[in-house]
Amino acid sequence: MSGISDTERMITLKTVEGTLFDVKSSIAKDIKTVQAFIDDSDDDVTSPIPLPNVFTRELSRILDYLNNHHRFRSDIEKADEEMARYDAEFAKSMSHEELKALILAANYLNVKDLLEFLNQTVADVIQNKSVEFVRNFFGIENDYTPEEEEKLRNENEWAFNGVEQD
Amino acid sequence: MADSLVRSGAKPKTCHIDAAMECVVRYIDDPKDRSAVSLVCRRWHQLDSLTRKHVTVAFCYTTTPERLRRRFPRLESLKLKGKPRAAMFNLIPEDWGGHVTPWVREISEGFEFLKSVHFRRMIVRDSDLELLARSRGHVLEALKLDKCSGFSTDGLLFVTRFCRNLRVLFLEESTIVEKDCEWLHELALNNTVLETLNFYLTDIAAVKFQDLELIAKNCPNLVSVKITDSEVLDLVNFFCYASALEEFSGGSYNCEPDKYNAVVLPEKLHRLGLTYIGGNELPVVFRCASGLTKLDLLYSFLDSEDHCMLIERCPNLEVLESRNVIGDRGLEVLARCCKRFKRLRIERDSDEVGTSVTHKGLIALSQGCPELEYLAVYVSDMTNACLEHIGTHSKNLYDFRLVLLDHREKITDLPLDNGVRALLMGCDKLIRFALYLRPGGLTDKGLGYIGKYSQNVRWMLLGYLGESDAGLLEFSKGCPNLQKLEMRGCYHFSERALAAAATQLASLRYLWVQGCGQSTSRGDLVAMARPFWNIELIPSRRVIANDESRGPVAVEHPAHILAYYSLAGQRSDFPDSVVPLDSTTRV
Repeated sequence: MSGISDTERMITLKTVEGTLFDVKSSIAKDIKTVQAFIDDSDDDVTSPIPLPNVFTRELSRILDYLNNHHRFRSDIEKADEEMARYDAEFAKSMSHEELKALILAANYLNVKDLLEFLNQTVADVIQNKSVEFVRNFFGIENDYTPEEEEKLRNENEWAFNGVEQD
Repeated sequence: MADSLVRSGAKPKTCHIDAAMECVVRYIDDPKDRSAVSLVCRRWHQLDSLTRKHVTVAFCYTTTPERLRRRFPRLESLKLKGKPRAAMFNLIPEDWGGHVTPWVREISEGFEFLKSVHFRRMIVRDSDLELLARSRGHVLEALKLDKCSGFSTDGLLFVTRFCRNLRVLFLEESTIVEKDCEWLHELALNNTVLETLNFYLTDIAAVKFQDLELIAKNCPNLVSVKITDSEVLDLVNFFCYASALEEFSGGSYNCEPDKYNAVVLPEKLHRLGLTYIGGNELPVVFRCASGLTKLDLLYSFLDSEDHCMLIERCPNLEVLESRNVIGDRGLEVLARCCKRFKRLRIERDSDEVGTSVTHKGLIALSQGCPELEYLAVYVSDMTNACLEHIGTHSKNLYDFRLVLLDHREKITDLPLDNGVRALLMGCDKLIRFALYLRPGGLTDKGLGYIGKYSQNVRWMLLGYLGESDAGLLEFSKGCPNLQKLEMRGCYHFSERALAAAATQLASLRYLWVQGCGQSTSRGDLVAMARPFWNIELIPSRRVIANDESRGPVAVEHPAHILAYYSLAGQRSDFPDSVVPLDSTTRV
């Protein structure tokens, strides 16, 4: 790093649609895929880094999330409380489709904290729900024959669903 | 989003969803949610199979070891339950079944990620322990032989010799043949990572306190130790070394009470089981009482007064196990002093004691302890008003078990129909419910109420309830979520009605009945036959039991019926005392 302390180095990211985002290098550190790209480059990265799997909407959300979390972390006292409130709002603001798309982007970019949070969010959504709900939620076609499904349902119910204590 | 993926010529949508699910699936632990995931489609079934970490098989004959391995080859933790609960009350033959041998064989050959094994109410041989220890010893972190039988300290020696990474060794209430104490010495020499050591309520007597000291010295993470009746004065050094200890049960007090002043319990200790302790030695406990969250007094020599003195000093108590000797007074003190109290278990005393637990104590408790979740109590007397109180005040109750003792001829207020209805309506979180009364304790109408108002109950034990088939049939129209039903004292129900009820209960997958109407033929039972539904009988038999005052006496055991769903077909390891009812040849 150069001697400039208050103007942090910026990195430019380019989405599938070609949108450019300028990102502080301290934020880029949390995007492991980007950081790895930077680490692998011999010279300073000046041209935009292409992200062939990430769309504008998702990248903008991820950067929002990271910027806010960085801000919270700088204020130790209120950090946990505010972060929890922000996270809850963040999760609520998305449709199920958007949530899934964001998981894929966070997974590709390897943003660990966000991914963990999103996974837990989805796990909470499908908690205690029927098979039909889960199929609908992910938009998946049932490829079992009725007989296979019945058999599996029985196996789950009779043998592998042991939650009882006695 | 999905649209733009398709437009840009990205991979098909389902691949992306799979990728997302691969991330999420690791965050789903509840077996019910896992079941739903596995049923979504074949690919997800596979995803679940490869990522499921823990499985509890609530009854080992519902599947086979081979099926389990095919379905979940990467399992890290397995809990397997064997004999019916009736085994805990010596109601079924010791050799009934529930052998771990086929499971251990499968574990030794597959399941390379398995770290934790929990067998409950199963028959374990020394050879099983040897195979398990030799094949999986290097990875095994937890071994729980919970109420098991059939093995000796020789088998344990293999475990403590080969399983050097054991964090948990749990043998509570197992029937263990003691040959020597080498197994414990080997554990003390080999292990540095032990967190839980439990041989509570076993016949293991030859315990060298030096071995316990060595374990405490070598294992800095030792948090729970439950042993048999070692002299507490010999454990002074052990307590001194075991600075991380949070739970301790066992010990005995054979010296002058004054001597116990020298005993200093570890600072973090907050769950305590006091065996053989009398009122004179209680001051040992007083010093740490204010921090205690759990007390097990089932095997103490404390009277009602001692209970009161101790409980008064435990404002943070959440769990208590004791016997009728605690008396209503003890429960009143509990209600007054322990506002965070959650779980109470009161067992019966082996002989008649002066004090008893009745509706009075339970009314106080339900009013004083709003967080009550679990109540399992033997009572000498009961009223409808008491059950109504519980229904009104104990909104967090999810497990309720009440047994009315038979030593008093006159009960204040029977039948308990209205009280039971009020309790079930009020406590709508109940998932386990046991009610054991006496003839006249609950009418057919009351039995109908149990059916109607047990919306969420999944396990139920009913003893001496109802009057006729009509009550049983009315009951069986309800209980939409009842999976496991156990019944005792059902002489007034015909097998025909029983079969009809078993067919009617929508979620039922396990039925155990003792003492059903004898007059009818087995043909009536076959009425409940259906695919995958195994039916087994234990005909009535004479059993020699040891009576404390009279010595060996012959006891008549009424017939049992066990019926359950299984994908494994009829089991083949029956002892002579068990008769499978083959519906195909009898229909």
